[in-house]
Amino acid sequence: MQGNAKYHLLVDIGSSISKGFFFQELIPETDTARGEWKLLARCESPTLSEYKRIKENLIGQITGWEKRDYEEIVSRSPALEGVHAEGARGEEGLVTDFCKNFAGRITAGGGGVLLLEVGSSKIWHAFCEGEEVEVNQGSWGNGRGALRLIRRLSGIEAISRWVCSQVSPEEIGDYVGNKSIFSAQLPTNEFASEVEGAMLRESLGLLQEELAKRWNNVEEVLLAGAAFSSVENYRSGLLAFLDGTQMQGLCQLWLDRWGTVPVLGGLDVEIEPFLVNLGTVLAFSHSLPEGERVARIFLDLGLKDDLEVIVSSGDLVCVPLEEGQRAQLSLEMSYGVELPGFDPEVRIDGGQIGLVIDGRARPLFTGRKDGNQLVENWRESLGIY
Amino acid sequence: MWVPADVVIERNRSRLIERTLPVRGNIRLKEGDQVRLESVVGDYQHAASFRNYNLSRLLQIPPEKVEECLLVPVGAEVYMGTPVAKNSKLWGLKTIEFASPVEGVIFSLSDNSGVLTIKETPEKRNLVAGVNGTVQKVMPGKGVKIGTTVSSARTKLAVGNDRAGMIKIVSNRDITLTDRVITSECSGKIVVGGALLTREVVHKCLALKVRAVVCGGIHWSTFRGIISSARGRMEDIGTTICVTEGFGFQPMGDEIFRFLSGYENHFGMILSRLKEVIIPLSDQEASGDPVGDKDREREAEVKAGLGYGVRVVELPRLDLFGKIGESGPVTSKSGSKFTTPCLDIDVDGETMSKPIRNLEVNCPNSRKAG
Repeated sequence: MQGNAKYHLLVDIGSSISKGFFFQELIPETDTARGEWKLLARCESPTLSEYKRIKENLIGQITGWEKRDYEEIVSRSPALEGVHAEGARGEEGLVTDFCKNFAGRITAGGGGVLLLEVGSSKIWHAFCEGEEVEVNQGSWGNGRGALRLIRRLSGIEAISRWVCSQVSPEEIGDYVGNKSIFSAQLPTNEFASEVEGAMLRESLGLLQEELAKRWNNVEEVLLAGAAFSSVENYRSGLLAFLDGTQMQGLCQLWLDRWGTVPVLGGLDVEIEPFLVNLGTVLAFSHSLPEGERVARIFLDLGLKDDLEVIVSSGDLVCVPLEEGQRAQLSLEMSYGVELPGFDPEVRIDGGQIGLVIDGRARPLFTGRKDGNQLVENWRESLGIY
Repeated sequence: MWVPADVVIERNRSRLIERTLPVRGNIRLKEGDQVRLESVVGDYQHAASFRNYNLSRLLQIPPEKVEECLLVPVGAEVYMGTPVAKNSKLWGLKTIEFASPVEGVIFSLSDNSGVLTIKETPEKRNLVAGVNGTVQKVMPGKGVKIGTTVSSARTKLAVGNDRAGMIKIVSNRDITLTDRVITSECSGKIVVGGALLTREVVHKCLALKVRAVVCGGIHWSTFRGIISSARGRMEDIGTTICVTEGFGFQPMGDEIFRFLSGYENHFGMILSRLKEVIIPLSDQEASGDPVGDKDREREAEVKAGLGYGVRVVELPRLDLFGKIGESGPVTSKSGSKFTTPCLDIDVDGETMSKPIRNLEVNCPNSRKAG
């Protein structure tokens, strides 16, 4: 500990990649207040057989660490075999603790928090509402678990429908197979990014049925895991979430851009500073034909007039609503349209992207043979080129 | 910086090789016994399997007429070559006969389809050691662990049971493997070669009872046809498949191809779970002091100027090779949101910075440098 600050090295040992986080904790003046944590550095290393080598790699990337005293906390993915890090905590407990920690900010109204973590070998989803915490895992992922993912799908067409590049299903299948072998590799071209985005969508898609029971009660969603932190930009991550889960409802969306969920989960640390607030997502539940009016939305931004947005079936609309801005929402929905969990009293928050309104009918692609063109249109609607 | 070392070939290593019976049986060895390649580890009863033959099609008659043509009743014992059914046509001028290809019992005949099922007689089979060495541990009824000296090659993917046989090179390393090269001479062997394993080759290997095939690449669509999704695990189809590089058309690595070519007509084993091709060595072949298991480093510390070879993995490409350059590990931005450690790589005289995550570092002998 130096002066009124303490330092912490938090290490997350994943199945392919290990990450190190160097935090500074400012000690509060009173014992009852929480210390403020600041992320000084983040680095990564291939996961190796010995923890000391991983640590050597991490520390070697940051200058000045060797001169400081710091506390070391190691978390270890349960998907991992063979790396010995004595005292390391399994991720399951951290995910649960994280949800409680995060959900602790929710008002007494008791809105739920959903955590979706898509990793290399596994996918986690945890739901927390009040005192209730439910954690589940799936044994598929976007790296080592890619083969398990693809074997759960109806065929490679489930992946290729999301890929706009002119490549054959065979090339896509080969990419997915190779990703299970070379799980740590970063996508370096457009085709690779598209296929990994498609895999992310299908990983989430396998949870659709289970999540459908929850949307009524979800107020906040946190997206985490290597698959989300490696998307090309925030809008891509948000669209992957909408496409994959086919969410129906209204929620605030957060992104764990640094991968801090596994390391901070069990600690008494204010987590929001390390998350990216993407904004609010509003997704209607309906099956109207394309082009038919879904709803009229009125946003009270505190200006003279409300902002009116007309949403038709098939639309993806992005309304700029900055971080810190709030709006009151009122709706006129067409017959047959619902917005699960909508509370007219609640104000919605802006974020890095703003308010994203999803007017697409569910399920997506129904009756459409031009799937790839649709996907391209959706990307353009959200400004992803 | 420490990185996973892709040590494809290892020579002259001490290993503990496990030889297990496919079903519970009798182990004939005890700890400390010296074994040779052909030493019998134990014996077991090979489980009876069922063979189906469509007699309606073979005898060219409707299914409901097949029973009239049977020469032996259901439940009868048959031997290889026993006449089982006969159909005479054209007033006896043409006769079509079906003889049993296996030894067993006539199990059933379907009136709907005309399919005859023969239950093969369980037979006693031996398991040979396949290696020279000393029995270190006996697992009663199950198998043994033998301490021995081997050379080995690591592959990227393996599906099927552990198998053994003589190594046979059937193709160059950089062309598609065709079924023309799989001949009756490949029966009972481990065939090696090619950049792409096709469905036709797999089927021919099964038909000719090839023990295993080692190839550079395989398409996902072919692979999917091999594995079973029903129980969520990879089933054995009767031939072990080993892929040395990855999915797609992937020329087999030069090093592994030369290694296996050097052991053509030598006995080899495929350890499927470890994805390895093992070459057991005789006392004469094991030169010098063997290096023990604990020295099998799979990681290495890379430093500038060591000139270690690397493969640059930029999917879908797996065919870019180079050497670690002079400037050593650096940290650099990759993508828009986070940093990742990179290395300068020399590829055909051009220096490029690549994330360590996208490199396979090939470290000779995989020992710590410097």
